[in-house]
Amino acid sequence: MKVSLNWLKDYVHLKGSPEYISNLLTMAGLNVEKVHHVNDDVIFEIEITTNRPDWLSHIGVAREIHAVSSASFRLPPSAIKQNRNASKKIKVSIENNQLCPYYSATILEGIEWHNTPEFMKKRLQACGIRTINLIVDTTNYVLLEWGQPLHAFDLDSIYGEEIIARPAREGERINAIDGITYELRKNDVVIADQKGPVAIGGIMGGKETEVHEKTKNILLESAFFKPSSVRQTARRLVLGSESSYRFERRVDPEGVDKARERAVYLICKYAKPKQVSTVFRSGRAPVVTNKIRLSQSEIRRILGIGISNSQAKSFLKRLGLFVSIAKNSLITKTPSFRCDLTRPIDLIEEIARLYGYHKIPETLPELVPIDLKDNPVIKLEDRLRSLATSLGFNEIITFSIVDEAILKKLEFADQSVRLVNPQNKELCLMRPNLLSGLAQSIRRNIFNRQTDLWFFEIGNRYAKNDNNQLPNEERMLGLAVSSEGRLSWLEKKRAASFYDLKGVVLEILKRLNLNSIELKSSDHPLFESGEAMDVYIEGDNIGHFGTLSERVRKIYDVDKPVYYAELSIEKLAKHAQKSIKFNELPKFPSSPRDLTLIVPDDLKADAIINRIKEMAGDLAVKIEVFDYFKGGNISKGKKSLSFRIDYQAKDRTLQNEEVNKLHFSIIDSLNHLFGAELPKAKFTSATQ
Amino acid sequence: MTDLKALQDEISAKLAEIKDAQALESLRIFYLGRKGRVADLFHEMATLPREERPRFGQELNRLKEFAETAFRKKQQSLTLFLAAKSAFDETLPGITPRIGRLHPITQTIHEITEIFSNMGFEIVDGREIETEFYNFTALNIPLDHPSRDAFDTFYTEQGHLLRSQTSTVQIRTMENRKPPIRILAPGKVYRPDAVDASHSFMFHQIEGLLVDERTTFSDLKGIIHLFLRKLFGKNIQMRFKPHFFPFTEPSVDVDISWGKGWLEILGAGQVDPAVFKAVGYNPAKVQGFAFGLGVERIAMLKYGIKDIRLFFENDVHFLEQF
Repeated sequence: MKVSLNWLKDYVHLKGSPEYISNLLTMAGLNVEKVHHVNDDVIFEIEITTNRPDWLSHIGVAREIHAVSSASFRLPPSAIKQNRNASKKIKVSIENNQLCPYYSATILEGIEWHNTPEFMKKRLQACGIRTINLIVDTTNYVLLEWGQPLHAFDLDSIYGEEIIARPAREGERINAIDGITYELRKNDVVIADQKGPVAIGGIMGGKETEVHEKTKNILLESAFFKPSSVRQTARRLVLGSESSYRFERRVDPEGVDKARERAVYLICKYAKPKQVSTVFRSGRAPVVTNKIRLSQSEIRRILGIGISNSQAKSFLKRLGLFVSIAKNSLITKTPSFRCDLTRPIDLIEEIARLYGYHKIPETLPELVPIDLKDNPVIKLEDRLRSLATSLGFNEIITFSIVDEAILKKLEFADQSVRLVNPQNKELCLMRPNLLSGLAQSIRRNIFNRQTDLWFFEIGNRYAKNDNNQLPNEERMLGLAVSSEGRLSWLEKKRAASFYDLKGVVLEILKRLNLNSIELKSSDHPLFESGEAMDVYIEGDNIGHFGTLSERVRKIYDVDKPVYYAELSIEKLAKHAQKSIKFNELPKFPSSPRDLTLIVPDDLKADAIINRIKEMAGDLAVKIEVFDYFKGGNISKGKKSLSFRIDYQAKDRTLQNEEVNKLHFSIIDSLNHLFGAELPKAKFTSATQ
Repeated sequence: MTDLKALQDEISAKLAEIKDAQALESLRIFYLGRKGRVADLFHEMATLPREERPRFGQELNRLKEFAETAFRKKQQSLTLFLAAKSAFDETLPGITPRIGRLHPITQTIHEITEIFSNMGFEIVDGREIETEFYNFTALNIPLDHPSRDAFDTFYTEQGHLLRSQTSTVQIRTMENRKPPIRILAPGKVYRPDAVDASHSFMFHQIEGLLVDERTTFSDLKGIIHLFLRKLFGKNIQMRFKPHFFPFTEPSVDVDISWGKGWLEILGAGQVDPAVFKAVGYNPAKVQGFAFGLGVERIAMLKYGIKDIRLFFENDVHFLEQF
């Protein structure tokens, strides 16, 4: 809200520079966001919190300045000398006193049209209100002065002799001052004459009954509308106004009459009406005064400092409360404009605020030890972050709200949680996996000519649940690699492959000290056929990895190979072992043997390794693949695979004969089972 | 009589400065040449009294031996050095190991959580898709109330919502535990804001909550100032400004001194009795404070980042600066 310094000075004796006043306001809770110098005036732009509708007026702000600085405060004049009788009469009634508890109106007959006084114009304009004509400007002036919205109707355009504040009839229409026709619903409040609505209650007047410079007689309305109803209507119609803004925050019930009388005073002064009626009213302003008892000890309990009863009393009195002291308590009664004060804690805040937060000392609490709960997912997340970075991956953070069009193409859209009010039409689904963010980050960086991308992200995926239960949220680790290798003067550039990512996934799993890691070939549709694996821990599927299929890459507009892995952190956390079990160091030497085999192309390395393990049992402590070769001397349809097998026993030194016997029996068996042959040139390449 | 010890030191010093073979040879001729310093000294011996000659002769021979050895060693090391120098280029770049980096948001969260962990706060996690109850009702934010304006919210088809603040974790934690409670809950929050340099529809917050039987507003000031000093340096100035949050009272906005002015850095306050009631605590028996801060805002300040969108674009040129 914009507040004029000159205007404030009408009500409060205020000295000091604009900077000083700005700071005074800010430290009182009226956060000054900007200060403008407009001609001879200073305008403060103030953020008004929703608990203080009484600050939405110059009088309210002036009263607060009085409270925090003890500067003297006075209200503007509103009593007129004129006799209150008019030739015209109107009946005012209320149909639903929930929606409109109080409605009042005064008739002013035979007004003269003059220019709006300069001071009024200047102040309105400085506060961002367009000046229109003397009557409308006056009602707006009082709105900014008292915080009570008023409305002036052209009395002669009102049909019949009754004005009624009632719920709108469903589907009823009104052409408002802004020239737009609004369709109303039964929860809206309208002001109606005998023909139909002449105003949307508390929000905007109707075009037909608008006051213009030929208006002779006016009906001046001042009312109290139910805040939540005004709010609902204004939001539904997307029709916020200075008026609805104040009604939905709740106006001061006692201000309804005061503001009306102030407007009557100003109209009499500047528009010189011939006759002014008495007040026509219906209902009662819902004045609430709360009696609150506040004990001394409660102040100290919450704030940590004691404030004497007499000091607290003087603070509260300056805020407009009625206060008496009884033993160790304050007995208070709140004024009608402070409906936010209902409980002792509300008074404690007020006392602390006027005492000055800066004067409250800084202390440190005495902390008792707490038996902290273990949070395995958070712990594991941190571990995974350090593993992933040490494996060369950069962490990224992407949006959990993703593009529907992409998920539709990937056929994930149906299972995804959908937003009904997305900020952007395309981004309306909660991600069902981490792929979108990772793939799009890869794309963006490839576009920026980056060719060595190793990314990971830790975040939730979301899945719809049955029966409108809260959706499942699962913490995931996503990894994506797209790399042509790094330029180096020392080594040849090597593009990343499926096997790089496979190695990373396995290394991470190993470091988590998991039992029985099992990889199975996967046919998940994200991946290139045959280039993907599912990861199982103790039989539980915890994720997958593989080469993104060309189709998927096209959907994300990535034209380079991408290797992608996604693992469930929540499932990993369930299986992660707490302690490491140490294995005794080997006491006897190992005997390494190299074995090169020519095998059919479609024979998987795993089959050979598994057979070796079967045959050697505990004696083969390590089996590594160290060479893979196709072409050259190797005939078509075949490949060459080289293994290094470390034979070692726990209880004895293995003798050459024993190792050789086992090694050759393995070769025989592999030959039998798979047609594996030794290379022609050499008989064996056993080393020791 | 010439001081042979001084001469020996002189030879050592001069040798140490030699960097190439030519200079070494000149130096050798100067000392050990046919007409060099050492030869001169042998001539000088003849001028000495007879009884001094044997001792001087001995010392002179020792010096000569020393000098010859020193020149030979220097010759060798110079040869090795020069040979190596031509073959090895130690100025070629080192091979940088591939080590990834944590996102600056994660780093900022870690920095903040570590400070509070050290003060005995537990790091907890919470749901992102929530119900009205946890995001609003239990936090004393009534339906159709203007206080909701500060919390524009995404809703799902099933009638749930994306939490617009991490304060939801306060409620979930208090429902399941008894005081004393000290938690810190970092996480993602969502608000349907138009995206620009300072707004994003998804961002990160950290919520803190302390509930026990005695922690006061004055303690809140102490803890927050301690935290800000740890995060921004020990000279950081702080001020508490009165503010309004439905779930705390008294409520404050905390500013820190920044450049010539003040900058809002977090919101805080004493937990409102209505919140304690909503989770079944007796507000006459327990008390404490809560605070919430925006991680992006703090990271932007700390690193001097001007555009919030950079955090979510994940450009490697950006990521590799942290």
